[in-house]
Amino acid sequence: MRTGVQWIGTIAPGETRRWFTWGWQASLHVVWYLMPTSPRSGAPQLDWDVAVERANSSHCTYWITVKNLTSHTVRFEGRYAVLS
Amino acid sequence: MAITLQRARELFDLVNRKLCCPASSPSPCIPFLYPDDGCWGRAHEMCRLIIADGATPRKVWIYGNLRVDTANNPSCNVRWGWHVAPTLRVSTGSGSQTYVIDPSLFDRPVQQSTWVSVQGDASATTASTDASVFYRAYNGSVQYDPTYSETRAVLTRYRNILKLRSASSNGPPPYFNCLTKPRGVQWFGTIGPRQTHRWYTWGWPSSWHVFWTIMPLTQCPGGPQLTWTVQVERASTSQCTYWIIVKNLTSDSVKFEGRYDILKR
Repeated sequence: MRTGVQWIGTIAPGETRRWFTWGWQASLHVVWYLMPTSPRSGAPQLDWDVAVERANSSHCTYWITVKNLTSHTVRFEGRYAVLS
Repeated sequence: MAITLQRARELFDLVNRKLCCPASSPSPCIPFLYPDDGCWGRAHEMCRLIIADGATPRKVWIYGNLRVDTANNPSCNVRWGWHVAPTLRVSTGSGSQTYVIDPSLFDRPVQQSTWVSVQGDASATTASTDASVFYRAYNGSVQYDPTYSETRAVLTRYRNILKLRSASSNGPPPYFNCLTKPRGVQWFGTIGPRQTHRWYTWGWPSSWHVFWTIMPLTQCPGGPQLTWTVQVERASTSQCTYWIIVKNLTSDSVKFEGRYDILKR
């Protein structure tokens, strides 16, 4: 398994925002997850959903929708893992 | 003038981005997912786009008893008496070679010899023309379409046929009977426009750590197609059932793979 950080994002309080990342091999099994880099204990900060587009026969685009559950701006890493 | 292979790839991507989402096929997309017929319209439109981007394509024509395997026809193959696609001269270390731009058959530019070889007739004959030739008969007679009106008519005809096929019981391409299920794929599914549907898969050891993902098989560039959520049921002390809820975000039917990865056994 290979992991990495695809992007660093910032999201405003209560905001929902979508990022996309293209040119991924569709044959790879890729999962997406987030990690806040702005520490704040006591409650979850971010929620996210993943959607996928088959851009052509061999490549896909991932669309990651991020929701800031807090009343503070949150900075985060957009992380991925290639499972196989 | 020869171009680099990287530039040829960029031009391939340029035309392939015009691919029709099969169920809606909005103009002016190119119906690459209907490989059965209409290659001369696709080739002329591709040449128009490539020329507009500053390159100088030609065309290669092939004649013979041609047969190509494809997952984009319910019979898993198409048969042609002839076929045509744009070509580009690509520099190599020792000179240049002819590459073919044909998204109906390949996902990248390929050498002309490769393009010929997949068409299943060792005695097929080929001819090269400049890009302005719209149609070339086997005897060498040619027709032109400088205003692209004939090209538009051909593309419209085959976009409509692709839409009709996608709306039939066959659904949109690709066709599952033409596909081999890869390792890590639990099922092939089809989901209708804007539909949310739930699948389940049972008998998984609950001690395993299993991750589920979805990948569309139906090509449709321009926006996200599918999203999903996973739920789990502890069916017994040792086994569980996963319930995967897939949501189609588009107004077209989408075929997809339901994938799993066992992170820990």
